[in-house]
Amino acid sequence: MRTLLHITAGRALFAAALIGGLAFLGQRHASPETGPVLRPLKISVGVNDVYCRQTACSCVQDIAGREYAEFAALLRDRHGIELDLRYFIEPYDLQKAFAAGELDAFLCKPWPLMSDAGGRGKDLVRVADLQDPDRNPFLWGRVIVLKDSPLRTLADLKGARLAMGRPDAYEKHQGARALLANAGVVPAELVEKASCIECLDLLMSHKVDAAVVSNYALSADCAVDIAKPDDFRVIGETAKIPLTSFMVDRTRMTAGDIARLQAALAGFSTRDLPPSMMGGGFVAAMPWEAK
Amino acid sequence: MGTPASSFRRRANARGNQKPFPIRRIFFALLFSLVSVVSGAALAAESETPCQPAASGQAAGTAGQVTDWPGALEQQAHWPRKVHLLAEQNFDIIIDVTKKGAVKLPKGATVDVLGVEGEQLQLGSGAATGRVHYAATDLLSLIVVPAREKPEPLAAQQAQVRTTIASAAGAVTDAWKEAKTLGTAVKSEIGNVTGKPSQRSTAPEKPAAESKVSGSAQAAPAAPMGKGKYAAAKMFGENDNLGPIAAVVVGKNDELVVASAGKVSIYDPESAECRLTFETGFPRVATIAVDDDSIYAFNELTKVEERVISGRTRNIAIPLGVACKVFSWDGKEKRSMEIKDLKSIKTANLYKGDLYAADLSTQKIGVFDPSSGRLKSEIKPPVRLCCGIFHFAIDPANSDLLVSNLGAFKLQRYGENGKLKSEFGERGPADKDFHGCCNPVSSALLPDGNLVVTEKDPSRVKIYTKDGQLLEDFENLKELVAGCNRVLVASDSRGRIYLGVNTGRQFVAQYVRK
Repeated sequence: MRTLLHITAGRALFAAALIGGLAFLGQRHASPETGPVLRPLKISVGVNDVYCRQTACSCVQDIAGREYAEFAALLRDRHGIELDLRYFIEPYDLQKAFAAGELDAFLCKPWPLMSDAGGRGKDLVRVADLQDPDRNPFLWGRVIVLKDSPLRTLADLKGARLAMGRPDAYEKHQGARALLANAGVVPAELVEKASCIECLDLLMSHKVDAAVVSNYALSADCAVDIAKPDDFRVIGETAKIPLTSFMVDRTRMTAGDIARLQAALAGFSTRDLPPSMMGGGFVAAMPWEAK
Repeated sequence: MGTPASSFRRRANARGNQKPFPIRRIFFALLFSLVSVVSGAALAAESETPCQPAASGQAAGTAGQVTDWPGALEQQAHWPRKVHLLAEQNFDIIIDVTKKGAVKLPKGATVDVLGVEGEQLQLGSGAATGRVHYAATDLLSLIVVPAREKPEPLAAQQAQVRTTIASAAGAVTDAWKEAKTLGTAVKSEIGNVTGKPSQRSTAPEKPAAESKVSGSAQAAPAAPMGKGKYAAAKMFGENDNLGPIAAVVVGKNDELVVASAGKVSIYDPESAECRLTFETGFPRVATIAVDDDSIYAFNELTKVEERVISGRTRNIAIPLGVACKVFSWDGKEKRSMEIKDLKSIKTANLYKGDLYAADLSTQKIGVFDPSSGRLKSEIKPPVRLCCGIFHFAIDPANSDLLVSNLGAFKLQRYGENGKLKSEFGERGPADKDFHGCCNPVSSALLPDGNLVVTEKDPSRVKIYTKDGQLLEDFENLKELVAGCNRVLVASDSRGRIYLGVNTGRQFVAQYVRK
């Protein structure tokens, strides 16, 4: 009888241990969506999106009317991922919050965070990009002149006065400099201004001959109040970089959670996106400088 | 046939003709299970560790994942053809051809992407070729590895990263609660000192002769004004259900006049109590202007048209003209008129017997006869206006117009002839710079000639010298307005500053030097 008990106990222990081990393995390999238990995941997200109603200027809310609340609710209900959205009207403030390590994730232009923010750029992982209402995921700079300007090509900028963004901007500065360098053009005067609207002001006041502005400046920016696209001609365009990325701070999130978030975002492409997100949809992180 | 018990015993005996179940088996079973548990836990733990390069590469989008993205089918993700090293970055691309030599590429160099292998990009520049970890190409921070060597774990790099920028966004205290407390304290203090003017005689008050308006024996006792930084002091109209505030101006005896919805309210600057409220008869007052005799209330006449903008139908108010009613300081209507040469009105100011009015539709500042509404002269400053805001203040020292050219991120000073005399401001990250999509939105003159300048989205209030040197930035400031709205600001003869609060419950906050 004692032997019998030994056998039974041994088998039971063996089985229990095996099940326990397999359970751990199963947990490792189970997909978040199909797993029996969805561990709640809460992510603080700093938002500064050109097309977001809460962060864009009110005067362009016809086009910049994206709202994340409905999308966030779906993400929570379907995937157990809760977004604590914090809106930053001022991108400089978002940069400071990132540099200070206050947020887990970001929905914004990737360039300002990755290129500066106290050297913390390499801590960011782009898990997805968000397209604009026209299903464009890219940001680029446009070199524009007044409609009646004698300047026709980039080569004509040689010796001209050019207004562009500050060095902390890609499309308005770094990309523009690369464009000029590739064309072998050296303007006579470069005026740096932080905003497109200031560059447009200089151009419209004839204080410069050309200006570099963001591709959305005349459609989803305050500039819509002071100028129309028909008032200008485009004589050059910079290379393209992602416009809005969903990025996570890898010092604050695990690889498993990042992968889970990415898989969940993949479910919100154009076909399955709430209308309040204004079209577009998430796509895989686009390569830098892809044309 | 035996009993089940005997059968079981037989099987046990058959197996165990050998030895009884050894304790060693239990040990091995436990050992096995322990290994299983540990291995499972280790694998699970792997997914909980901070991201390593391989994981980050995966997260950034490996080829397999990219094709699984429904939205990516049309925007087919692809590798960059070139990697461009931009100027003024804090890193260099270094391609290790061999372990012996490295090619440090100059800033601005463009490197061809020769191919993709796993999580690495094969790069080439001239004779030099090498590999770079894929995850980094998206991240701008290229992690360069010699061929056939693994990249340095990012975790090791992260350990070296030290964030030196301190948290800029500290806990925001509720300034208004503080103001309420202070206001109560000041109020009770005033109550205590009533009838004891000697206690106030030491306060650094301005002489009555310096007041903007003629003095009056009815003026309430003035609280002392410090020389420190501005801080919230009192709230005006907090319990008056003001509605959206359209204008905040200071009138005779430094009384505060507030236009909200269709009414005008007058407040005592010391007690913060409402002396008088009267209805203008307008459904909505656009703005007001005051002089010693009268309060001018303006209403924009509009018609609503449906317009399709960006595919959406919206109701747009088209400005048609401006109506004006003139009231005495006791709220009695004296007369009314239509100002025909105005299509809209955003700011009005009565100065030296003339009415100055800013018309957003024509982007002109007109000078009118206040008795007839006749246009006397006008200037058209070359401003870039947006958000429906057109504000100006008048410098009593020289009659200059201080125009908030928010589209150009400048505060500009124009002479009476409309010629630009000076300007300051630009968009930027510094405190002295202006933020947001377009700022500044309004300004007011302080008795010492300095300027109080406001910004919206996010709200900021700063004191500048007249030539644009930043003197002070208000701290712990709550959002004063939401979206494209002007911050309402006024100052009185003693330098007290009034800010209209149009978020949540509407009221006017008084700021004084502590």
